[in-house]
Amino acid sequence: MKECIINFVNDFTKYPSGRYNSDGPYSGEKFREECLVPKLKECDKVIINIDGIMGFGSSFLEEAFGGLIRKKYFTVKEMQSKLKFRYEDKSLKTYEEEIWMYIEGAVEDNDK
Amino acid sequence: MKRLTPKRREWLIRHQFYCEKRRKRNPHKRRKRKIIKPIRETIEAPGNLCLKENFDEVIKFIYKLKQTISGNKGRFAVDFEPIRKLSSGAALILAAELDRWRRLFKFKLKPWKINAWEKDVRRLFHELGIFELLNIKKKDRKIKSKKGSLKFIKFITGRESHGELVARLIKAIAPIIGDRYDERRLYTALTEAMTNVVQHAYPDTFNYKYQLKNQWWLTGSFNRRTGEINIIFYDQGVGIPATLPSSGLIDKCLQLLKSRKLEPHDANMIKAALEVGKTRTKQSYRGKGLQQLLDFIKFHKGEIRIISGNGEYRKSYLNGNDCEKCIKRDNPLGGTFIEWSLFLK
Repeated sequence: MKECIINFVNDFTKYPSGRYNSDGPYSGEKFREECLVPKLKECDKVIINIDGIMGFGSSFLEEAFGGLIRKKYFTVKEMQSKLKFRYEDKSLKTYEEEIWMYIEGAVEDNDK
Repeated sequence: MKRLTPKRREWLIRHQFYCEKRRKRNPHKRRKRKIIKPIRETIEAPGNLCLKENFDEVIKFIYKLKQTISGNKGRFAVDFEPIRKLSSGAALILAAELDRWRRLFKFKLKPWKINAWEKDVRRLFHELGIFELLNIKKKDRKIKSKKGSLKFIKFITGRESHGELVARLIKAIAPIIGDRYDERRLYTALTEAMTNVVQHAYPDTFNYKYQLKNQWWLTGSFNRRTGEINIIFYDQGVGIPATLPSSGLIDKCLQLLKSRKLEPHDANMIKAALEVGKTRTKQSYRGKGLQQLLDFIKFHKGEIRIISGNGEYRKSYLNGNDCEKCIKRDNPLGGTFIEWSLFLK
């Protein structure tokens, strides 16, 4: 079982912002296409370490994580078995909850 | 002045006579004098340049400035001398206007009677970065008072949703207010505001003759006496009510207003757009960004003011009371203005 770790700050940026590539240099779309999808395809389990992050806007999170389901890269079940989060700063828990809300919410849209 | 000797006086009279004679003989050879165009008009700034207290006067002044610059470039002067009270919000709108003309036409406005400006106004203009946008000689840029209860942060501007620029503002306010607020929530609110500007504020149908596409301006201010901190974000786009059709929220907003028997004017439309963000829409993944603008002040029990189009929306969580106000404005602002206010004492 192959396990991969994405250190958000080191592998992507400390300052995520924006939804699409046209919005800014570190958008949700860029993170999904350049970091998340390749790692999720390559590994059985992906752990994202979000310590040190400046903050996440809803448009970034929705595009990066909800976009995985909307664009039909993966299903929710696959995501639940593959994706994990790691953080020492307890205040970051809200972001984890928000991410799962977008992943699960994106499916509801597809079902409609 | 040196006194003229009789000999020299005699020579000057003779010289003038010959010059006159030569000029009459060869009129076409007359040297062209550089014509200094007279200043057509002087625009006077209002005494109270504060959006909260003097909204209509401030907007009229900015509008007149805008009109005069576009139609009468360089042949007018602006008099900032009457200003006695200045707020960071109005100052940012003024800075944005000056910055726009500088970027579009490399035009810097020449101010009037610089040395007569109020000491504090001069210092605040300097702190905000307005001096660099005006045509002022370096020797006239000195500030007379260095400290005051009100402090402005130098404005930041950009055309993208760029987190590093927000971090720059957070870094600038850190020495003043320390860690008495939640940086992450502020970061989220500001990056969402930037994303909204890039995605919706400047649609392709907009007239860009005098506009800078996707441009936004950001600043902050802190009042040591009252403990009030303001973060201001401004863009010169079409405004939130006009962007609702393109963002797919218009139907939901109109439906919401109809159900509450509210008139669909701009202020109510802003309120509806914020509320619709909370609930699901056709594309549930869109429209949540506006709601995040409120999270920061909800957490800190502060106040938010959104001015856009012909409407103003205020929401306050001060003293544990959740109250809101929608104000119809006669004079449109031209863009969207968002101000987050916290009271840290």
